[in-house]
Amino acid sequence: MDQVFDFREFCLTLLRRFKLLLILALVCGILGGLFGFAVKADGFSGDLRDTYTVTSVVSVNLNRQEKDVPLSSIMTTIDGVLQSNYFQTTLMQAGFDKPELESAVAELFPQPETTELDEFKKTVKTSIKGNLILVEVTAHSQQNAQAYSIFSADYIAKEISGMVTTVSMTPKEKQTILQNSAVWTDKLVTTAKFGILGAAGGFGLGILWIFFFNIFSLKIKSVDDLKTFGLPVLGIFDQPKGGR
Amino acid sequence: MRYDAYVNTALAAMAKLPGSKPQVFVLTSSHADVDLLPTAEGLAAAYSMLGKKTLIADLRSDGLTLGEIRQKQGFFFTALTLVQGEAPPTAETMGALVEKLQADYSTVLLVTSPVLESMAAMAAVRAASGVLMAEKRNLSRRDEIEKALEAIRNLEGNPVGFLLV
Repeated sequence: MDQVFDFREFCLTLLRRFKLLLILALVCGILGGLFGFAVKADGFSGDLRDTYTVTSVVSVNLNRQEKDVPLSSIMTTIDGVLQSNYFQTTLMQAGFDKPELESAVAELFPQPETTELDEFKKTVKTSIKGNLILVEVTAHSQQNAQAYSIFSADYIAKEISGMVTTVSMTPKEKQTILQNSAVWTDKLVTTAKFGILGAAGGFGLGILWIFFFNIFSLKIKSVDDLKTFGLPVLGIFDQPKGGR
Repeated sequence: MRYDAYVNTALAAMAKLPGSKPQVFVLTSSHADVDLLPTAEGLAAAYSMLGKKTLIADLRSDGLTLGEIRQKQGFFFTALTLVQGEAPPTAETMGALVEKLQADYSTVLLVTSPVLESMAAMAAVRAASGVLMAEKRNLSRRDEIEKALEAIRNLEGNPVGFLLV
């Protein structure tokens, strides 16, 4: 038996079934959103603990005798040094392995969560904005994030001061920015992403379903279907629903 | 109701059955849920407009219902004129009824159940001049139509064409 695909009929079916498509997209969107809400925001590791991001800021001042050197060029140099593998490795090793870190943490917290030190090594980010060096630390404990961020900023300021000899920098200001809403923001973004993906997937599935239904359905959909039986189609009538 | 489509269909069906003898059409479908009576009424009205004295005979129910198409104040309507016993189930009795109706009407529409579901439909197919199959979008199935056509041909009926409703 001939299976005829009628594109016009397919489009008409899409229009007729538009509500069904919307419902399917809505249901899949809700399911996707729920899935997105359930998984961890930054992956599927299943770690649902809250995370906190703390940024410490080091303001860089130039020596008087170096006033003729443009600040931007000096900060570009510092940025290059900060992003170098050597410095990153040094920062991680020195910053988190040295005994003074442990003593500093011990001062701040009577019972430091030393088991999470490895975790911090992966979540320290440095960046330059104008004459500011920003050190961002993300951790599952707000206190730990703050402590390591301040410590890292101090360490960086000292290291830079030593490495770039033409300028002397001292940490002038330390500023802490707490972003403890990051978890929920990430969760909402992830939920929205999965929701949109689910809705698009549901819509696509509905279109696919109608497509294959059109191809494989045995029901009569158009004049062409009737013509395949070798008899003429004498009339086409549009009648109201309901039989007698 | 717009009769243009029905008139064109009536003309096309008439052209399929040339001759001056009164024409008897079976209007059936491969699917029991297809709406046949509005189509029959539209076709009958079209034949009336073409000057044919037309009768609708509904064989689908237990009894035989005859409806003559009349015109009153510009509108066509079906006047039920006769309700009698059971529909003739055999070819001979159906043939006798058709001959009787042909004597009084120039066009007769026999509305029947699907051919494979009714003895009266089978008898009507054998007695009629031609068979019109009304099929509904998204309801009638190809395999059912094939079986119905095969049954009509086995009964030596004359399938004239399809009506898509």
